[in-house]
Amino acid sequence: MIKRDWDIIVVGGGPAGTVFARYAAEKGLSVLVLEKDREIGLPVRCGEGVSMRGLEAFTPVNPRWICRKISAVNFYAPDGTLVDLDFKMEGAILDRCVFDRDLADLAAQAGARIYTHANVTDLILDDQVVRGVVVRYRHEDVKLSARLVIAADGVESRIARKAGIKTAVTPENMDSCVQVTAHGLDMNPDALSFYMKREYAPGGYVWVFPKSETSANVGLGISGNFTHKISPYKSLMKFLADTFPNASWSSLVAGGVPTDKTLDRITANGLMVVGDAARMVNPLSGGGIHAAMKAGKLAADTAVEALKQNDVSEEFLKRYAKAWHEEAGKNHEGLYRLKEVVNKLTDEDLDKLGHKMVAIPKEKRSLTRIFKAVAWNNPRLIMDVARAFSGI
Amino acid sequence: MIHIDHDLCDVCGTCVGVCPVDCISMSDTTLNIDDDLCIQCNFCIQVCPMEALKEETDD
Ligand SMILES: Cc1cc2nc3c(=O)[nH]c(=O)nc-3n(C[C@H](O)[C@H](O)[C@H](O)COP(=O)(O)OP(=O)(O)OC[C@H]3O[C@@H](n4cnc5c(N)ncnc54)[C@H](O)[C@@H]3O)c2cc1C
Ligand code: SF4
Ligand code: SF4
Repeated sequence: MIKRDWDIIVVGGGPAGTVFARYAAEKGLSVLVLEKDREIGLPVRCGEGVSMRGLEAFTPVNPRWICRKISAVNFYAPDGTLVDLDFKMEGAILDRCVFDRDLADLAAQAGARIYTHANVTDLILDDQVVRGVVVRYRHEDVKLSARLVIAADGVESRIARKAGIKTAVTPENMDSCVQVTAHGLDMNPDALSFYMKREYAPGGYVWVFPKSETSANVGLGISGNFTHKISPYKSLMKFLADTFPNASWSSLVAGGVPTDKTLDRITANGLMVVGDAARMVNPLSGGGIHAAMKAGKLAADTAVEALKQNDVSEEFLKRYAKAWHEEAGKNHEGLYRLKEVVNKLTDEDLDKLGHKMVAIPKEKRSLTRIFKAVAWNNPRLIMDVARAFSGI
Repeated sequence: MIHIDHDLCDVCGTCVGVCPVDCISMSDTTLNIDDDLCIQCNFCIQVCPMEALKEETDD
């Protein structure tokens, strides 16, 4: 049976939860991770693209996590114009099943306990302070107590709501995604490819992230604002038929990416919210692995102090919110504004952008130069981009 | 009422993340909507990537 009393209970066994658990357990705290799914790491609802630098910040990188190193970025404008950019940083496509499991393994090695098939259904509150969780485990609703609870429950983000934090995002800030892992592809296997055509992915984009010479994660995200016009599933099928007519796939998954601003409140008495649950995804790119790990680390730093001083009040835990805003919050808000601008671009705007970009010699292609070049002919855009960048 | 087509649903949680009244619950294998709490805003239908949700009118 699961032990009843813990220093910390973590809800969710994704990167945010397991990175948190590792850091907290290393400091000698008793940490329990509860994961509702049958196994950690599956299903993989992710394009698996990361920058190496982002990973290395948290853990020595095990080569078995990396499917493929990436050295270039290819943007396809709606009319097919290819804009290739050298990747300034080293990129990688992960094997997230192995990666997520190894993060769990590192947490376990540090002393954390992990249970799967353990669905947390409620929080235990006492005088507006979170004191534990109710977990559905093998047909039973089990009450567990903890000095601190971590909501690392991903896009659904139900746990924090039970402590009074509003986590629901509006459809315009939810990217509705479908992805296949496709095989037999004729593509550039060293590049992240992005297809910007609005016909396929309004308010988002199509990605092709290579996992081998001939296979890739091929997916798309459509802002909930546009899904009444086009269904993500049907749109991906159309993209595949148009672009890779001979492809087969070994997996098909759905998923949601919250591309909202980070929640105003990411703490309550006895509770901290981390990763996708706190809406920390990069709102422009939709990448969230790095942010989830960062949040896990920052929350663990505060958790260790809070338990040492025996103070889990929201007032104390706000140190974590402050650390997040100092390290990532400002940048995040700038990216959110930029997302709003980019979403407004039409196919014609994007084509023009593409033509301007290819006219710039490759070694000189940088985002700033590109925006300058486009803005020359498009006063509306220059205003919007200036607005978007003003906060960065 | 919102009808869930369980054959199409991938239990991905996207709909849960937009439900303003938190009336959608999930296990590892299935989705459930509490009709008594649902306010019929249809946000869930709007964001479902798999077309698994439909509005059902009682007749
Ligand atoms: C289609 C798609 C493509 C993406 N591509 C990329 C990409 O290329 N690069 C990138 O950086 N990011 C990408 N992301 C985003 C990235 O996957 C997430 O940001 C990242 O997984 C967030 O980590 P997390 O730990 O916060 O949440 P998650 O990894 O979602 O983990 C949350 C965990 O909590 C569990 N859980 C939820 N509720 C409960 C409960 N009540 N009880 C117990 N357990 C619970 C869930 O089962 C889940 O395992 C993509 C997302 C999607 C949907
Ligand atoms: S969004 Fe659609 S596929 Fe995902 S859990 Fe909800 S109903 Fe199922
Ligand atoms: S219609 Fe609105 S309230 Fe009802 S389940 Fe869907 S999102 Fe929730």
